[in-house]
Amino acid sequence: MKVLPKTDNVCDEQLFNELFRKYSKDLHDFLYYKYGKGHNPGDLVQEAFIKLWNNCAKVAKEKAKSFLFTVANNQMLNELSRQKTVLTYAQHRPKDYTNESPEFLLEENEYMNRLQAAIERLTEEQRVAFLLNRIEGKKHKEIAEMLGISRKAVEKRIYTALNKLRASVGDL
Amino acid sequence: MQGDDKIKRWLEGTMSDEEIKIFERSQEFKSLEKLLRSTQAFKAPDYDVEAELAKLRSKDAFKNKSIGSFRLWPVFRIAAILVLVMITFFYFFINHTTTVKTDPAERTSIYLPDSSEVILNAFTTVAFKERGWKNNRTVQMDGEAFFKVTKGSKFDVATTMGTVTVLGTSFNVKSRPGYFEITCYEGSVEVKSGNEVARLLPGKAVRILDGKIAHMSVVSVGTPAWLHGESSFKSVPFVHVIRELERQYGIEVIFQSTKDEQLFTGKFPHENLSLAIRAISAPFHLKYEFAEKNKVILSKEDD
Repeated sequence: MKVLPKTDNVCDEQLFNELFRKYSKDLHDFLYYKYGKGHNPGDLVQEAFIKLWNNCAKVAKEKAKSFLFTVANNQMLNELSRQKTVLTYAQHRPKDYTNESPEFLLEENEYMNRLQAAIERLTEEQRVAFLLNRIEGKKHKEIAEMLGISRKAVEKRIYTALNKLRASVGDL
Repeated sequence: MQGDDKIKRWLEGTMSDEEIKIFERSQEFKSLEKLLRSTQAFKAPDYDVEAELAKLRSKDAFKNKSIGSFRLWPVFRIAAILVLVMITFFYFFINHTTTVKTDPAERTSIYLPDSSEVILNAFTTVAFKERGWKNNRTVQMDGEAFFKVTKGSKFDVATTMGTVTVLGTSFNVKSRPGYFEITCYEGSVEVKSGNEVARLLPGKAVRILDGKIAHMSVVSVGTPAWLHGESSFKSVPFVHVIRELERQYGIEVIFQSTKDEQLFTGKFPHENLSLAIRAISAPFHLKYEFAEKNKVILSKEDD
């Protein structure tokens, strides 16, 4: 990589902090939805930003985001290759039911287990796109920018993911 | 599935309001809604951006690297060094002015690049440029100094009171506020002050006081009296004698009298303050007292 003039790179501390505020949460969520909680996504975010700082003279402002996502993703893949981990997702269920009969709870539990299994069975690409959209409320366009793919591809991934989930949980 | 297209369009937000109403009443939508609601349970843990940023900034890797923000772009780094070298070169070798100063009660002597000697009396500043000294022997001087000039090109002593020009000689220049006196000891000296031009031969002196020029003869002793530890005066207004006393001892003299225009002839030593004060106050019947360590009050003797 070529060394860039100071005005174009990200060596300014102010700018660096700004980048962190802008991208760290997205990066964290991206890693979480893609790889689960088995690996601490927070740590990987930290490492990615340290790498960005170490190479600040060579990274253009407008390339910072893709640099961060690529670095964090590679880092995660490195870790995954070292240890095979089962993807798991935390469940914190909203307790907004008023009539909790034992059968109802049992059914609920069953439903959630199937949903979790289905989510884990999705491909990484489908899962990231789907969960960022449905949980984090990211627009198709935002996800496309984040992953560096087209909007059409994002829509396809979300739709495919949803169909798979529907098929797994049934029409309860 | 029959509802596939509907779900797809609902997801993409391309469904009309009418269609949405109908769709939301269907069983299909209810199960879809449940699925999407349940999905919320898998939300990523909260991420505190500011806390994470603070954590990042406290890491060693980041701290050490923060020096990196000062890492200069290599081309710029080289340019910066070059500029520095040029400035240093210019300052020290091209345009550097050497300045020598003495405080009150201090004397010193310096040698100029051609080994001409300058002896500075108390509270005097001398400045000269080393570059091109051979062709331009000019010394800026404020105060009093004795010059022993090596033979060579024209030698100028520039003062606020006037300029003294010589070829090779020894002479004394005294340029104090309102007082300009040049004494020639060897060779010849040319003095220019305003429109006045005077040529001095050994043993002659010229004094310009308030724009008036006066020629004098001195008893030639080879060097001025101040080089032998005393200040000597010949018909000098008393106020200038007092100013000289102040400079030689680094004191302040408060003079409550009208005698400052009277002329004084005599001398005072540099190493004995009370003797020096007596030497200049006795002829005018003045008494003195120390107000503070460095403050002397001169007043009329009570009869």
